[in-house]
This record gives sequence, C-alpha cells and structure tokens, in this order.
Amino acid sequence: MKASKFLGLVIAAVQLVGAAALALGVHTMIGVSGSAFSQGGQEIQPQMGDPVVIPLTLHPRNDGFLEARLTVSLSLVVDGDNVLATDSATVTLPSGGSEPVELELSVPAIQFQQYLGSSDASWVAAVQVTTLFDLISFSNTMTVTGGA
Amino acid sequence: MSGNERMRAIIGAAVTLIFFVGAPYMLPKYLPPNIAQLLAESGFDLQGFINEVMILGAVTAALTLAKGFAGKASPVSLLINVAQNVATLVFMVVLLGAGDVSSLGVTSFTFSSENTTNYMVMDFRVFIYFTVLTVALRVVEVYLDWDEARVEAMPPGRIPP
Repeated sequence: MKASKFLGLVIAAVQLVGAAALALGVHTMIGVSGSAFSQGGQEIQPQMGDPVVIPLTLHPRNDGFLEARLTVSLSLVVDGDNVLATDSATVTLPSGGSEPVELELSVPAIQFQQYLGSSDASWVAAVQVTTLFDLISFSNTMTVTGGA
Repeated sequence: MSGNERMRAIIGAAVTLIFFVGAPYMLPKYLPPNIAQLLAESGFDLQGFINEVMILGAVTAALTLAKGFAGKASPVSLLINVAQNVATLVFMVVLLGAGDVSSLGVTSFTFSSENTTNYMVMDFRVFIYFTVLTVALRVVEVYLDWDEARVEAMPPGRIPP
C-alpha cells in the first residue's frame, strides 16, 4: 500500500473518532446541564431562624454516553459583587447515572430581612459540565436580580 | 489533465458554491423570527458569521475549480491542496467559535430577559487542536500524493531527484 493511501486511512479514522467524540460530548453536556435545573419550579424555601438557612437539592442525570463532571454553585449577591452566602458542589456522573446535589446557604437573619425583595440582591446560579475526559466544557451562569 | 477531471472540478466548485455561499445567503430569510430574535438578543452576529462562511465557501470553490485545471504533478496543485486544507482549518475555527475566529474554540453568549441574565460559555478548544492535527496530516498526505504524481509524470528512465 502506498504511504499516502495508508495516511489517508489513518486521517479518515482520526476524523471519524473526532466527529464521534464531538457528537457524544455535546449530547452528554446538553443532557446533564439541562437536567440540573430541569425541575423548573426549583422553589427555594428559606428555613427561618438565625441564620436563615436556604437549602436547594438538585437531581441531575447523565443520559449521555460519556462520564461527566458537574459543578453547581449558588450564591446570594448584594450590591453587585458583595457575596452574602455561597455554596457549591461537584459530582461525577457516570453514563446513565444520577446523583443528588445538595446546596445550603446560611444568611444572617438581619441581612436576609434587609435584602428580602430588594432589587440590590440577586441569586447567581452557575452550572458547569465537563466531559470527554475533561477536554470539553459548558457553563451557564444565571443571574436573577430581585432579591432574596 | 483529462476533461473528466475538469468536469468533476466544475461540479465540485458548483456544489461548494451552492452549500457554502448560496444556502448561507438565503438562510436569514428562512430563519424563524423567534430564533432570529434569540440570536440577536444573545449578541451573536449572524450576518458576520454568514459572511465568513460565504467567503470561505467562495475561496474553497475557487480552489476546487483551480485544482481541476492544474496538473497533478505541478507545484500549483500542491499549493492549492495545502490552501484547501488551511481553508478547512479556518472553517472549523469559525464554526466552533460561532464566527469569532480569535476565540479559538471558546464561545460565549449572553441572554437577558426581564430580571434574568444567562451567560453561557462553551469550550471546544480540543477540537481546534484536533483539526490542526488532521490538517497537518492531510498536508503530509497531499505532499506524498503530489510527489508520487511528479515521479509518475517524469519521462521514462529519468531518475527522480
């Protein structure tokens, strides 16, 4: 076999692997990131007290074909960049797997009352999914203004 | 260069023009309004992206056509083949960077609605490296092809340099 023909076959194989990796990786990332907040009505119910505890439980699933690592963080931010409370968690989801992610924010009661419904306060939820042996990633940082 | 190969080059160039110049040119007219609005709100420069794809399509079509008229063993043929592979690399960078060549595979979008802002980042740099690898291998392949064609085109009895 001529060297150029052999090289052509190698290139075709490499391109096939690349295309498959792209398709599988994107499929996994979209599935996992979509499932992280898929319940939609993820109502945040603060447990009143001092401090006020704000729990959040997510149930991400990995319906893709590759293992994925999911990092979720939730923060309560006031005045643009002053973080009142933050929590984050990272889980590794095997293909077809699911694992609950629990986050909990603790805010001093006085500050919670101060910023309750204030337009100066905002929730920042960040989701990052990495897959294909941590080679590709997708992140979505959602900022909702309008208070605790 | 046979007439058959020239005809193939003309058809190849025409198909490239249809898919990478004609289709992108028509795309905005057939894009659903809600998708167009979503893209506009995200700050995505659709027209700029389309223009880049059309330019690359026109360049690739021209190269395909020129290749059909250049002798396989000529240095011009080698240059055209290398240029086609470089165009493929640029196309991938444009595609994975959503039109932003300088982003080199890291694309970001911002969507805003009422009191919510979404900032999305996609990191596909590995596929840029992957494309660089395959394009490099393709360049070696076209060189080997060209070298074989050059040897075959030599008069009988001539020892290739």
